[in-house]
Amino acid sequence: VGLLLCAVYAAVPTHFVVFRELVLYTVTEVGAVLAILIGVAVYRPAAPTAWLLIAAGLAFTSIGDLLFGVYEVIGRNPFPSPADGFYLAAYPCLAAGVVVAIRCQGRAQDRRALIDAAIIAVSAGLLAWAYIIQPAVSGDLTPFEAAVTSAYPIADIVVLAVTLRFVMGSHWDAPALRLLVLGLFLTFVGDFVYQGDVLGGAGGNTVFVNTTLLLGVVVMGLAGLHRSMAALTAPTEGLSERTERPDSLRFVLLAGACMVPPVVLAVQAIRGERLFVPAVVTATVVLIALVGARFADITTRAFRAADREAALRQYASALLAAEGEEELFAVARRAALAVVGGRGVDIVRAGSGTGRAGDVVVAPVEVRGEVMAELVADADHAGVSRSRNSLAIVATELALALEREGLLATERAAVLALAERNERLAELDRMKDQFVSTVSHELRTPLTSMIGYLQIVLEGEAGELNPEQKHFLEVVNRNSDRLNQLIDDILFVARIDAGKLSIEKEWVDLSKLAREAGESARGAARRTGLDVRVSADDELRVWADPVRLGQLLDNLLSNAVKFTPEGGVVSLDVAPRGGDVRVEVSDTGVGIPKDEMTRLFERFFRASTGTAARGTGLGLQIVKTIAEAHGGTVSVASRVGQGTTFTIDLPMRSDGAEAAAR
Amino acid sequence: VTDQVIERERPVVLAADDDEDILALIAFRLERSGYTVILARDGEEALALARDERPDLAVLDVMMPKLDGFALTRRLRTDEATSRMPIILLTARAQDADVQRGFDVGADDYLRKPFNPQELRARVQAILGRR
Repeated sequence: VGLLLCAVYAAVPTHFVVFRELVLYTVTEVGAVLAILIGVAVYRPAAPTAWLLIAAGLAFTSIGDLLFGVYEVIGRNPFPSPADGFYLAAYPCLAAGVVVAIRCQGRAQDRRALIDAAIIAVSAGLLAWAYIIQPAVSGDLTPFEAAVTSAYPIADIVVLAVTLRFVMGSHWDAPALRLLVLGLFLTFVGDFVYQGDVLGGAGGNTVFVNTTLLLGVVVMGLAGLHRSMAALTAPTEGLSERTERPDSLRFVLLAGACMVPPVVLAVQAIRGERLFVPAVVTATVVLIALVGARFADITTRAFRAADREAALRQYASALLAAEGEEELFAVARRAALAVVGGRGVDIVRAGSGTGRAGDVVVAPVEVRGEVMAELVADADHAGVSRSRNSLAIVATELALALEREGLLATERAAVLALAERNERLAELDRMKDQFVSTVSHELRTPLTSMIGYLQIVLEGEAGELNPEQKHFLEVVNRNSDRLNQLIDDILFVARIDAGKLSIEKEWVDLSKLAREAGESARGAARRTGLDVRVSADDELRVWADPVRLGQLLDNLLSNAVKFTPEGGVVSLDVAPRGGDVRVEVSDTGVGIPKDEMTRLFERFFRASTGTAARGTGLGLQIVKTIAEAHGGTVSVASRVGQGTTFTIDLPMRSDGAEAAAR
Repeated sequence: VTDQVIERERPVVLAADDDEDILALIAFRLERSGYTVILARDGEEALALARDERPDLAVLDVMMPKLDGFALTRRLRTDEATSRMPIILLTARAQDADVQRGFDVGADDYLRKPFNPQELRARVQAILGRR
């Protein structure tokens, strides 16, 4: 609507004075003021003062325009008039509005923007002095008229300076703020052109001037209506602490501003006008001072940035070297102090409540979503607001270091626990070995005396025995042997369980081992009238542990002897079979029921048919373990009442045999 | 120290074991077979007796207080006076590694407990008869 009104205003011919100047212009301006007020009511900015001041400025302008229009309608044109009072009141309001916005955004400390705005304002001031104020003052105006005339450009330059300061130092990305800035500039441009025209005596371009001014008002009104209008006074992040980024437009602008004094001087010299040497010199000196200040500022910033960077680098390596939470906190505290330049910051652990009153939280130290501490700072300390980014880095790196510390502690604890457990297991292992060794010794020592003395008595060394005594003592002797065998078996199984069965292989003649085993089985077999037949004639070399293999044969044979009734036959056959050798031990004994076959190799299992026989129940487990340790297999076939055959298949060569054979 | 040979009517055998009954058994068997047997109840006593009495042979238990059979054998072998004395170890241990260890430290023979006294006598005679 506002833009439409502007277009209409520009299009309507100049002789419809009442409609144009009074109705259209005032309606448009009042509309803009209302738009801002509606915006304030709807979007509720945190600090509405800035917008209200701008609205007040527009309202004053509107009243001035209304009065001006009335004068125009009635054909009078007094100067100065009350309209000028309202016009001049408008500028401070606009400038104050922008200043409030700068303060609310927390940008009051941006020296760069201040200096840059000042540079441009000074050059603009020189232009105003040369082409507006000087002619006005030197003309035939009364002092009051001259003062009012000069007040306009001065007020314009104040608004321009403040606006530039806002643009250069603040966030004005929001559409509403861009519109506002555009509106302010349009006002400035309109005013400057108007004043130049008026004083240049060429009053012809009033349509352009008035349309520009009206457009500025409309744009400011639109800014107030836009939903992003609250951004004007929203606090923004702290100042960027980086050194200035190259911004070519800004530098061109600044360079142009600095060129103004010599250009003014040159133009005046060429035109043969009077030279304003004092004004030009003053402006030049001020500009040089400002540029100097600007350069000093850039240099200071660069040094500060370098210091902060060095502090952060040192901090990173100090964190790596630190151990334990306390030390990490101390390192981070030192780094934060170094970054801001000495004081005003602290790191307060969560819940410790030691923070000073008046401090603000700059950055939380968050470890896995939990705030462990807070980096707090004295908000009024300039170094703090300058170093917000670096302080945030200090907090983040501290958080990472704390997390790493936590992980390391967990890992250390785990490693320690594991080492302890290993130590305990090793201790248990040692205790088991010790136990086996002790049991072996403690059981065998008494048995040594028993068997030894029995032998002596049985040999008649302690006097002649009658047949009955001799028979009884032989029973004792046999059972002592069994007890000894039982101890051997139990210790052997204990060693298997501990994984300590050692197999020491060499080339062994299995036939010879079989003949020896058969020979020793015959001793027991003779008592029950059994026939032990061994079929192992040819040499049969296998890669095996001779002691273990002998043990295997002994076990199988003594089993067969035990479970075979008087007059039976136990036979041992050893023969090559492909790449393997086959050991078969058969008996004509009691046999094993089918349903018990699968349990045969279980520890302490004894077949129901063998109740009369005595054994440890460990023998077959030992056989199986030895066979498997040699890469062999054990199988069994049996028929109750007819006999049992155990078959062991052993590879002739298992691991390592090839190398040893060469 | 001269390598003098002590001439004795009966060969002297040192028997060391912490078990009195076994000691008596060894003594009975060997005395019957014509040896003089001197007895030690622990390793240190055996070491002292071996040095003082210069026995012709020693029968040593492995598991003994103060000084075990392995250590005792090693000590006897390093001492010039007893370095050539034949030694038979008696062991109640099951591990074959122990047997190997016995030979490693310098034993001449070894017998597993429980043992047949006749076998001990046969081995003693075999070693002393060789000389």
